[in-house]
Amino acid sequence: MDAETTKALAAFGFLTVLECPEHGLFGGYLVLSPHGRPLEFRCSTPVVASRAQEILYGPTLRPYLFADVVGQSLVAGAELPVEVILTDQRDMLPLALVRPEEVLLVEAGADPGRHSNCGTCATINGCRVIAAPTSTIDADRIARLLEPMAAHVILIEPFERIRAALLEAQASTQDALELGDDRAAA
Amino acid sequence: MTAPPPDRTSGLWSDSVREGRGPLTAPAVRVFRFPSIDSPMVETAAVPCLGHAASALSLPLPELRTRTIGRVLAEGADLLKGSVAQAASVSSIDRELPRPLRQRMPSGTPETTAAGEMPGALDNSPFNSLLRWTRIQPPRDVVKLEDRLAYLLQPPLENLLAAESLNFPFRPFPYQLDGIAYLYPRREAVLADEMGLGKTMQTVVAMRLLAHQGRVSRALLVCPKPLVSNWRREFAQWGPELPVTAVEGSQPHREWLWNNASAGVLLANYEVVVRDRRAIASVPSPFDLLVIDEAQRIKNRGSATHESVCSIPRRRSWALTGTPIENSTDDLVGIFEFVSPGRLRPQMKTPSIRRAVSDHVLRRTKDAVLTQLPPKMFRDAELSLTPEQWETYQRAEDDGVIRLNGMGAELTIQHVFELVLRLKQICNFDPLTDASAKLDRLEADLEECAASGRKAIVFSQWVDTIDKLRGRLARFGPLEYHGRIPATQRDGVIERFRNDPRSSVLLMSYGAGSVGLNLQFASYVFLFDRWWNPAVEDQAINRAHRIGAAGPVTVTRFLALGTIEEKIDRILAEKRELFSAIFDGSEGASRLSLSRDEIFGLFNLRFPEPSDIAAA
Repeated sequence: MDAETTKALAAFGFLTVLECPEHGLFGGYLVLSPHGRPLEFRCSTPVVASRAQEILYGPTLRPYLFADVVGQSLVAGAELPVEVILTDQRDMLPLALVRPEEVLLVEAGADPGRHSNCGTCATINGCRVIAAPTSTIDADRIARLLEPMAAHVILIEPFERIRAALLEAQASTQDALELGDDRAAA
Repeated sequence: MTAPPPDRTSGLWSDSVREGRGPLTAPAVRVFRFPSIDSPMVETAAVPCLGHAASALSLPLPELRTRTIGRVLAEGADLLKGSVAQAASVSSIDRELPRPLRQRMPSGTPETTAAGEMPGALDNSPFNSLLRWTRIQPPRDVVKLEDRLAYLLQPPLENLLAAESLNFPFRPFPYQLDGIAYLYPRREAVLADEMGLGKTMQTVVAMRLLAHQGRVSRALLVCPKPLVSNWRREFAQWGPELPVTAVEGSQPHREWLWNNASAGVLLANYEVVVRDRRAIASVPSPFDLLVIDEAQRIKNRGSATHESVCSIPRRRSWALTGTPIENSTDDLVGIFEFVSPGRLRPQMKTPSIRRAVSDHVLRRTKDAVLTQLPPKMFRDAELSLTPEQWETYQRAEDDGVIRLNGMGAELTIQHVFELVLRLKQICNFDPLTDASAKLDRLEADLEECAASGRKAIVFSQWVDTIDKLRGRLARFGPLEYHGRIPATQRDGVIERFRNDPRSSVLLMSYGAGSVGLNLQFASYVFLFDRWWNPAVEDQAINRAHRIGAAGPVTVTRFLALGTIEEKIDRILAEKRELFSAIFDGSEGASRLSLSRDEIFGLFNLRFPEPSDIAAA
């Protein structure tokens, strides 16, 4: 398969979680074409841990909720295969343990002190791309994976779209709830 | 490891929200597939993507199809060329960014460093805040969640424009991108930007984007006759691949165009639309998009222009106007009968109108968005009439008022209006001697203007006044642009004014020169006499004070002291402040021109009551 065909077949996953104090964690997974067009979007219902669960999982609760509960659910059911999943939340990196795709953390700007526990990192279009600590990927491979998309999309941008879509879905659900309440009251 | 997510409906989503807790089992997931924006695709005219691009999208989704007007291009094909050629090197990626992405990179952002290295010079501040992405927001009347998400999940406009391989003569201002993003998803829209902010360019680019994506293949743009050539130029500049055809010539030729032009942009003036109303109303299929420029032309709901435009079959209706309200809120009702029939009703209260149109009207002012535009300075030249003018003026006013008072119940607004016009003309020139205090002052100002190599535009209500000015201003190489100049010669006049250093002044009538023209190379604007409506004066002034203006624009408003001009100016000054009643949130009167009672009041007259008429 030549390089151009590889690029043409590529699709890229973007995964993030919206933390809502009232409702919990909403997950969103967006699959984009190399040109940044949306191909598939999946969003989750909110997840809230009970007090007992917080005590039980302790400091691992957050990564567990992000990666195992929300992330795994969203990615596992996706119809479009991807080679790489990008996230903008460090707590999502453990997803790399349970998924075959490469899971990469994207961050804006540089803060060297925060990356001591991470794997390989590369800078692409001003965004830092960081591999999971358990990954063996090197920087060249990261660049090769992302290069078809990086020419068209600044890697942190799609996360904004996901958050906007999650807020919209949340508002829509809220409206439906209020409408239901109104009807019940009537 | 958690179990696979149970098949839960969205109703359970609501339950978990209500209970304030969620199980640590997998949450329910909702899935949305794209593209699903509701837009009628013209399948018969669709052109499939080239092989490699189509295969990228041929995963479980149905094959995407693209439609372009004028040229066929695989999605992002030109961008792929650059990226494909690059070896897998981290450091190559930044250098291969397409132009729009490079332009969006913050100035402090360094080139990508070698693999694994930290870019020391990169700003630690949040990267997001340094970049500006223009989002396409779903219109409020899109209610299905799937459709709303389809808009929200689209790439920012900057990426769309890059992916569609659109080249621009220069980079649009951020507010212009906002305007394009506003028009793009809307079927019903009024772009009511203040004059000079680039409504034309925003419209052309939005049309271009829709055309490239196959959502608009056949559009009609209606504008005033003098602006047809201006629109052609703008299309050539901002949408060169869009085929534009002016509907003109003989009636059979026009009829053939209406029935057979199946793709591209048709450009017609309002007079042609009225003449050809039957042919247009029976076109084989609705236009994908109908744009009307200077939409205030259809404000009168009973007019032939209004009825002709509203009867044109169309899928999208966009109206462009810098003055959505010239006289009263009824003007807006007239425009909305075209844009969104039934949304506004006559006699609606201002707050109701504001609510009803808030998602359908986008209005920005220069003060709000063009902080870089050179300043516009006003000078009120308050002049005393020459002795000859003053004597003539007083005699005409006294005689006129006496005559009006003597008319009793037969007095009409036309009689008063005639006297006003008569007095205003005397304020320009004494009819017996041609003495003119205004012209004396204008000559002095133009000496200075010409000496500094700058250009000036002089506006008057009357062509007769322009004739008189031409003789006295001969040494400034005056050019004329008004109703008596044939339409075929008008472009040449503007070109000569732009390029001929011997022509320092352009004499224009408000009627012919107040809309659509780009004269930003002029530094001075003189309002030799005043129009009845401040909006028309603003339009005239903004021929020069618009994007591209190289320096400040000085506007000189001539005013004859102690005359009818001073009275009118006082009333209009009060009304000018009320223009924003609808769009800026302040409450107030909505009439901007002089009302009947105000015109009568200029001479302390009273409109005859029915009882007066009955008595007569």
